[in-house]
Amino acid sequence: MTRRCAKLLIGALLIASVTLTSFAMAALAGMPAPVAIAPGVYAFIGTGDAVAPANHGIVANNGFIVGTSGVTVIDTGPSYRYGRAMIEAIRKVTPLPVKLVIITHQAPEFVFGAAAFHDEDVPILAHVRTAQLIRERCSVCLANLRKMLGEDEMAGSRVTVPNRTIDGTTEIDSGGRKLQLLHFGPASTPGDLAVLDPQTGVLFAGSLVSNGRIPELRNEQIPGWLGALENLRGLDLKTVVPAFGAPLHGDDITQTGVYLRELDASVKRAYKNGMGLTQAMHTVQVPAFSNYKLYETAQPQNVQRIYLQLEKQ
Amino acid sequence: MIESPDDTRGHSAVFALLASLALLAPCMTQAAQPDDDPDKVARWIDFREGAFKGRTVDAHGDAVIKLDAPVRAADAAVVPIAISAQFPQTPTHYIKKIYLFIDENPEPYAGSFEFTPESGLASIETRVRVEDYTFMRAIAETNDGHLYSAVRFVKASGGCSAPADKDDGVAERAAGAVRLQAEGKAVAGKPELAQVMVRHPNRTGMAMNQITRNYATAYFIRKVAITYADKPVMTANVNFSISENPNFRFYFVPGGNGELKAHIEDTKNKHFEGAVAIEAQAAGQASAMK
Repeated sequence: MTRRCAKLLIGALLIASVTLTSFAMAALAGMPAPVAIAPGVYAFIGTGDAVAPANHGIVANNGFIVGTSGVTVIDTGPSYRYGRAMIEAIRKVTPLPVKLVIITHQAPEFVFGAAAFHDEDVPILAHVRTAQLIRERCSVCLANLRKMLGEDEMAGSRVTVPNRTIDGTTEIDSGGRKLQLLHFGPASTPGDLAVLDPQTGVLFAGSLVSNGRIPELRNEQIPGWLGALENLRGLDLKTVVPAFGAPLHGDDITQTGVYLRELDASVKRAYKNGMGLTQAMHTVQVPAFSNYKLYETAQPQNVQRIYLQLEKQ
Repeated sequence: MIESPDDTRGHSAVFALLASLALLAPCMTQAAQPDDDPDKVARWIDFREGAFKGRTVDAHGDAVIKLDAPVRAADAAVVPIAISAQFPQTPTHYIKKIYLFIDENPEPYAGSFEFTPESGLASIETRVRVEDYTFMRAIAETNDGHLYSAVRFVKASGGCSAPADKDDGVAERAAGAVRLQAEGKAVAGKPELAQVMVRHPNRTGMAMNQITRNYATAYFIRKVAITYADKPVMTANVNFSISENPNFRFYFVPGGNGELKAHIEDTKNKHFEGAVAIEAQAAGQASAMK
């Protein structure tokens, strides 16, 4: 046994003995309390950081809307355990049953709580392209999360393919409340949905908008994304719940679009000048966003993503 | 799972116990960690003994070679790397070969790159596939037979949001388009950066197509030979560790007018060619323009 392993063994024994004698753990460590955004509209605001053991993967936002006869949940967090904790937290707010879960897009921090709702026979709705990506890709995401957060944190988590799909903008009645599910075409992902509660003007923007955190480009189409953001600006919105970070008002929702435009332009410039990929990843910056969360890791990755697309043209 | 406060306490204790055991997982599963000793990885030691037969590999080769790779890669299938020679090639002192080794890959030896004094600079940039968390090594062999290594630790995760697989048949039929180009104005006698790109699926044979659920056979570029004025400047003997649509940036030293040529072979013995005429300015002209 190496010295490092010996240290780990001692640490493990210490933790085990302390825990077994004190039982001093919270119901779900790192779980935020739901914030009332507007009458009947609640959001759980995650840390906005990168997924890490210290934050239990609770980095993204999700929420729920209480109607006259039931509850609609929007996004479900990173794990089965988080989904269970959402159910508990919702019960403390209302006795009404959860009628529907809406998954706004395919990303690991948003989809894995869905299994907890599925176990209670709640239908899971997403855009058809999101459902397809979850089926094809989420087993890889789940393995990555397990590796990052550990078996314990991810216990019971599994890939839950949405069992209700839509292929475009739709108005639904869910739990006695009218909701608009907005799809503007392929944008940050091929199947982005934003959920608008017209009664209060609250929009859950899904992956389209982030606050204080640069987006991670994965399956994006930048022109479509910018178009979707323009569409959002045309709506009469009181509050926007972004994918990450605190709720936004007014023009503050434009920050994601500003970042995307500047990133796109600077990568194109570097590529046109014959700069290699490695150097571009080191040197292409969007200085106005350098203090945003995730910048250090996601900025070079975003540069790589755009650079490789330019190369294919 | 979390039903009542009492339940929660009991479960939490069990979870914490499991979590504390999980701390030991690295020791049990032997997954590579950044603070591991790179000189003690068994696969590397085996390769070193087999390839270099007891010759010393200088692990502090910073004055000869540098390896640049992202600490955390977003897409394990495309990890950009840059291997930089730290001195220019001369007829008397030059790097003749660089070996690339990625410890945790199913086939750790990714291949080699051969250079000559005509290369100007024995630097190479490309993109590789990386399995998991791993050490990556570039080993430079100089013309006097010395070996120097540079090592980096890379954390790569599977592309959990990568686009779904394309049709293997379509990718194969489109294979073979070669783009060869020099970057910027060539100056006679001065190392000139060039780039070759080949459209090719470069399949590993180990990945399941998410649409067809089949494993397509391995099919990849195995050789890229670049010449300038009919003299070799860079020869890559590589395998499926190189990412789809292989791309290499390298140097050569242009004379007056000459042709830069790429000759490429894949594992089905298909040959692809590329050529570009290089008109180099005389060195004097170039300096006069500065």
